[in-house]
Amino acid sequence: MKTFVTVSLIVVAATLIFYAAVHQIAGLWLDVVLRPDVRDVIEHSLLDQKALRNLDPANEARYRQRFEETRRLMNRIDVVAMNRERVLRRFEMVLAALFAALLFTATFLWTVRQRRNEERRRAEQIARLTAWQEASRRHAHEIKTPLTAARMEIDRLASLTTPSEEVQRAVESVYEELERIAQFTKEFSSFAMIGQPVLRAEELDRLLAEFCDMFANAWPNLTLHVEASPVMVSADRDLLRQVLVNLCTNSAHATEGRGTVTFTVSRAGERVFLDVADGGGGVPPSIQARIFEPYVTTRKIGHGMGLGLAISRKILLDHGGDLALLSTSPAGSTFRITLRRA
Amino acid sequence: MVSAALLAFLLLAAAQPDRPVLAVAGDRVLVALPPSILKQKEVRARLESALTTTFVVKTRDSAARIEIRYDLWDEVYRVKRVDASARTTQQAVTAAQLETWWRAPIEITRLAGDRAAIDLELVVLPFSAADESDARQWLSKSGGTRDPSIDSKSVVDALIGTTLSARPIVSYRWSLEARR
Repeated sequence: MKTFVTVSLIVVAATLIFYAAVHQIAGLWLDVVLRPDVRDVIEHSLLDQKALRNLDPANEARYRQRFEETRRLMNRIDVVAMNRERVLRRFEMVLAALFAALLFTATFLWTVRQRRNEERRRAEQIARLTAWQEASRRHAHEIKTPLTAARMEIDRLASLTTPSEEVQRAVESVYEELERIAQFTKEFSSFAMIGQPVLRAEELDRLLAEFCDMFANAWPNLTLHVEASPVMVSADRDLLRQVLVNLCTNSAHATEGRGTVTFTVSRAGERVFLDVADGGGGVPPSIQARIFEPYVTTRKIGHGMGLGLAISRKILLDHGGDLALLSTSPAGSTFRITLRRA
Repeated sequence: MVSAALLAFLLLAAAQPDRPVLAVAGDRVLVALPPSILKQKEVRARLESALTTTFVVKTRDSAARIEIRYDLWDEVYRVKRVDASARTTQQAVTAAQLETWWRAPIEITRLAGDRAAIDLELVVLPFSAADESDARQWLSKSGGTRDPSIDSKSVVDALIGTTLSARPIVSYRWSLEARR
């Protein structure tokens, strides 16, 4: 809506400027024809033809013809002169209307193109994330099979003999490592298993309030602040909550669990924006462009695989919405969730 | 104050032409327009141009037309009358004959009974339909294409066609009575 208003204002301003310019130009060419001295010359020409007739009566017909042609020209000029203002006004209006129509058409085509590009970009992102999902599913599957076998073998090894203290420690160590592998596999699986959203009309403000109650238990020192008026969105409650968990978990890590996360809801036509802002250290410039790609993370190895934002974006793209990094600086970051109004 | 109002009234009265005179011949109602119309400042200025000054005489249900054009070459007035029955007469008259010709009555309507009230309106146009058409074509050619294979009767013609028009330079109304 804001874009439409802006474009309309630009078109109107451009049309007015064009109208003023056309007024000068159209007035100029018309005044060239309607100048009094032009008419004087024509009148003199008429008198000259008459004088020539008297001097050369033999060619009277020729002079008469020229006289009539000149007289008609003078009459035309007189008729146009009497309608000067109307001709100018109409001429300017038609040109300005054509200009405005051209401008609107160009703007419309540009908007359509932008929308198509946006759709193509979304489709590409979905395709890319879907490919990542498929790869994750395969990795998880490939890891799970030997993992299960390894667990069974270590169980069997542990049960065969009375283990010495050294063997017991080794078995426990292997169990721990297998558990870590299992955790990673679980994360792979969670990315691979994102379901398609079942969209329903949800009250976003209420959903946020419920989420804050739930999340406050996990991060008791984190302050969650909601600025939202009642608005209905088309969303899958569980999946949207998963997105919020991912974003707030990142914020909690960025603020070491002691900052404030602010949710701000705004609307633009059929779209609803939910901005999630924190006061953390911001996203490093080196990964800003790739922040939503899988396995991109600022955390240390072993502290998360960098799938949270990829999962969140996939969920929102499947909603027909989006997730974007709105702003980031050393003073904090703001992520924007875009949803459709219900 | 009173003298100023009186002066204004006298000036206004002086600016108004005389009333036309109606005559009835059979069932035809004829009107003789007062020569003072030709002496009105705005009308006189138009008669001196080379355009065809057009006088449209209208009643409620009929109209007649008088056209006067000064021919600069022959230095005569080309005059034309088209009465309410669409009878057309045209001739050339000198400046001295113009007033006499102008006085001649022209049929403006038919009389159904013995008498009728007639609301007469005279509209003076600065040029004729032919002048208008000629200027329109000329202007269209200026704005449109010169290529005869391309139909230029498009936007420019529509634009110019509805823009050029003869707006009345002056008009009069009279309520008269016609009687046999």
